[in-house]
Amino acid sequence: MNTTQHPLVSQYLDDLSRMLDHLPPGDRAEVLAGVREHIEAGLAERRATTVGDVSAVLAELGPPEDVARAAYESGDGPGLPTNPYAVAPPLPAQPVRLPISDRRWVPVVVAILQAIAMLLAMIVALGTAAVMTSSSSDGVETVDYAVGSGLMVAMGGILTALPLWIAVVLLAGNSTLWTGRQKLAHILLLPVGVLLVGVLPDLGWIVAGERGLNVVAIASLLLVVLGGFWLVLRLTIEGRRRASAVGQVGLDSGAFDAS
Amino acid sequence: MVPSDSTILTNLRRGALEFCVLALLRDGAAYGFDIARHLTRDGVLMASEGTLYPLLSRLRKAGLVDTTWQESTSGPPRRYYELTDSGARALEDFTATWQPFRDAVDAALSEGATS
Repeated sequence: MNTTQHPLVSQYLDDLSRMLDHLPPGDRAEVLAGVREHIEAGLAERRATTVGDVSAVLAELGPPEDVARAAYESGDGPGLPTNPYAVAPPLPAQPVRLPISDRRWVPVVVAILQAIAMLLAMIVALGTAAVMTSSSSDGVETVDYAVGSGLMVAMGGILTALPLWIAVVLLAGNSTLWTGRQKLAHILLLPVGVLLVGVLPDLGWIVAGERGLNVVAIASLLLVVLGGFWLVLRLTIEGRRRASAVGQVGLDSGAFDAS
Repeated sequence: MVPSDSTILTNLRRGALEFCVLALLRDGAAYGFDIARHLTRDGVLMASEGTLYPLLSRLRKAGLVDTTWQESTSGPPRRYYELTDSGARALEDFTATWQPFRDAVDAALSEGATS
């Protein structure tokens, strides 16, 4: 080489050299030497090294990314470096790892989360249920209850259990262990349950005063706790059944990948 | 997925291009720059000249071509590529396989067109 290298050429070779970093050193040197010689020959042929000539020679070479891609493509054999410039990466041959939300433990964990969330929400709801105020004057006891306060209580309960509920939504919502409807049941259980406990007593109050309030409050609590328990149990059994099915057949077929 | 034209071309080149390089060396050693120029002439076999060099490196490692140095009238000695014996055999094998393959593809394509 009798001329100093044009900055464009240096840049091209530097870029290419960097992209070939993951090749074995011998291969990298060979490709770089070939390309460098090619550029020199191209420039020698043109007998002039204006910016236009240099650019034209480099343009005919193609972008360094293309060269690098071709360099990494070489291998069918094992142990060859993977190609970071591949247009489409080869289909993974390694076993597919189950997404977190499809693992075996998910149904049980979701059930436990549901139980704790429900418990927390109910404790908050019961703790603040003293919004029903009683005062006695002249031997006459009057009981005041503001309709709608149950709703506030319910909101408080939901808010307290919110982090757990979010975990339930993420795990169950992303999981393929449940059908869409079953996921919805998991997700709606807590808000609907707490709302029922919060709102139903209002109806009891409106219909039958203090007695109605107390009866309906207890009844709705029982309904939500028992109903919730039954629902979660069923969903957990269903989820576990599907999880073991996925573990047996799906691992390498990727069949569980759908939706 | 409908492959684009360039994807089809890329896939077709993958099996055939290296033998085109071998074929260019059949009549004697050649210089990388000239091989590249030949192959990019119509843009069908190779899109950019630079991709030749990884290919040549691969062929050399597979023992299908050899490199030699030849003095050039201007500048430093140049790296020439020439066919090895196994390269020549590989080229023969490919040629023998390619003809029936090409005929079969042509036949399939034209049958599809007439039916």
